[in-house]
Amino acid sequence: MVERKWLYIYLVLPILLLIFFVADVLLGSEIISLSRALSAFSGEDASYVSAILFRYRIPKALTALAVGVALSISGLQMQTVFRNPLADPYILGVSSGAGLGVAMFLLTCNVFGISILSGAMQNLGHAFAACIGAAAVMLVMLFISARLRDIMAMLILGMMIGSAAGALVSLLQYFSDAVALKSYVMWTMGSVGNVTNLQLAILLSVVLLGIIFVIASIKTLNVLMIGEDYARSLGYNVKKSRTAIIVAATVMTGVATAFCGPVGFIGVAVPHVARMILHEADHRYLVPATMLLGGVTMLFCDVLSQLPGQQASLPVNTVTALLGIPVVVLVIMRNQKIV
Amino acid sequence: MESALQLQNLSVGYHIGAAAKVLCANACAEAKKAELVALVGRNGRGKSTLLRTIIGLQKALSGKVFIFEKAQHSYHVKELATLMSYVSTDNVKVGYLKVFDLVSLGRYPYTSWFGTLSTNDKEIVMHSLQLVGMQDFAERNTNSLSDGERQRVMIARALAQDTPIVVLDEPTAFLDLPNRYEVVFLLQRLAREQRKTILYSTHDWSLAVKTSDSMWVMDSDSFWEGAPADLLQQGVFDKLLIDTNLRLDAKTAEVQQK
Repeated sequence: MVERKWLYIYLVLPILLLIFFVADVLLGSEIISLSRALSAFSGEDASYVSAILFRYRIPKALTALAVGVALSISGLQMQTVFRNPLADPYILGVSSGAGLGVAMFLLTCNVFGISILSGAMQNLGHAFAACIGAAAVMLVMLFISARLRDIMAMLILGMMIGSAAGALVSLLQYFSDAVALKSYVMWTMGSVGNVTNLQLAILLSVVLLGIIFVIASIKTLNVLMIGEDYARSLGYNVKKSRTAIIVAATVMTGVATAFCGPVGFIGVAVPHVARMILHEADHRYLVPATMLLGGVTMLFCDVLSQLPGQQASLPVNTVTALLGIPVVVLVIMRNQKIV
Repeated sequence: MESALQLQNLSVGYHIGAAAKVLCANACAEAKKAELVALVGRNGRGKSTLLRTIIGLQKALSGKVFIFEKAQHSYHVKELATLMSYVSTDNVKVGYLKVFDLVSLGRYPYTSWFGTLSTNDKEIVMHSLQLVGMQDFAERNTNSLSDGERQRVMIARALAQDTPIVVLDEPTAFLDLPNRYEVVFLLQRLAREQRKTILYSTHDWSLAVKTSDSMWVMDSDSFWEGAPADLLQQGVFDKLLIDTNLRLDAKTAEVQQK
């Protein structure tokens, strides 16, 4: 008999992923029927439907999938490395750091009279700025976590760093012009629908590399789970592997945040839901389950945020927050043995 | 008897900026194969630091640690992991982590990149759980264990690592009286029957005097090693109690008022 856990990983979650991917492609302000979509795929239907599908919907669904995988895997890595069940790029202020990087990039280009670079340079600059900002915060958190074992204190510090980044962004906004300001504000709303093909290509390659890296570091994550001293006494070069894992989480968060805005609570909530479904702490199961569930969740949130059939849509990070916060509350209560 | 562990003029401590804070200077000691060695000393004298230095978690300020007559720093960390295992004071709390999976982490120095356990690995994990009397807990969640049960599981994890030397930092610290005795008797049994060299730090001097083959005693400027009875006769323990009105009875090894 196949174990229940593997059933989830090989069957249930992949099917869910497929269903939500198709749903995300078909549902939007214009609802496309499956048969029309199929005829567009076979090339029979070359109307506006195929334009919507290929130019907008499919890249958007791929983006949602990639962002979901990137953020949930980053969350899992951070929870394990910091040994903190509530660690996640958003809560620890890493997303805010990425936001500060983006704000500096978008807003200061104008201050210095440089017209925004175009094409590849702009996309790469944007992603690079976000990664630098994310890395700066991650460095601070690493430095602090080595001296501080208190879970709650670290979260409060994460909030402080987030606020500090926010204050700096406000300052930048005050001195920037209307056009740059608007593009920044639009970015903060979070959207998986505005990525260019080049951005999507960057995002997908980063996530793919991230997935390969995380699978290769499964054993290390399992050892780090019980603490660095144990990891070392088991023959692991803790400093090196810890740094590599943090860098991977930072780059994935940075790039996802750069192109889609700060999307919260996916990183903290998804790994916990994976643990609850599988009743597992072993990363051999958690890593694939978290990736799949992250993709499913982000696609689901995107479907909801599109308000199918309506002209309006919601910022996707409001949806992820509304879905993710109850999970965070549950985790806190369990940690305090309330539930 | 074969020497498993040897300290040669070992000074341990830590650096504050450029200055070194020495906790224990010029310690010389030896632990032989199949010996149970208890490390005692007042709080803040550097017992944990000494154990961490021996295990290789931090560098010695000076002097050397020898593992099977070869300097510790000349081993690769992966090699050290097959010679020494460690049980820290850290309370491992991971949701949904099963006892079997926690103990099987001890097999990691021997498994492939994905950490897949062979039948032999699984047998060793179950055998380790049997040795500490926790075989019926294999499928239990680690979060549902009592302090005594958790400590035994952590010892089983070290046993699964299958090392000739096991180092434990205050394994009885958070335990109630029966569990304290049971853990120490377990360590004694493991030393005798599994032929392991077991070095552990403790605050329970009386129990350590009665059960250990040898003791290491730390004070701010001195380090003694010897058979417990000899150390007791020499009044070594009373030197540690000099600022109190307590003493250790030379016959019963019980704490008494002067």
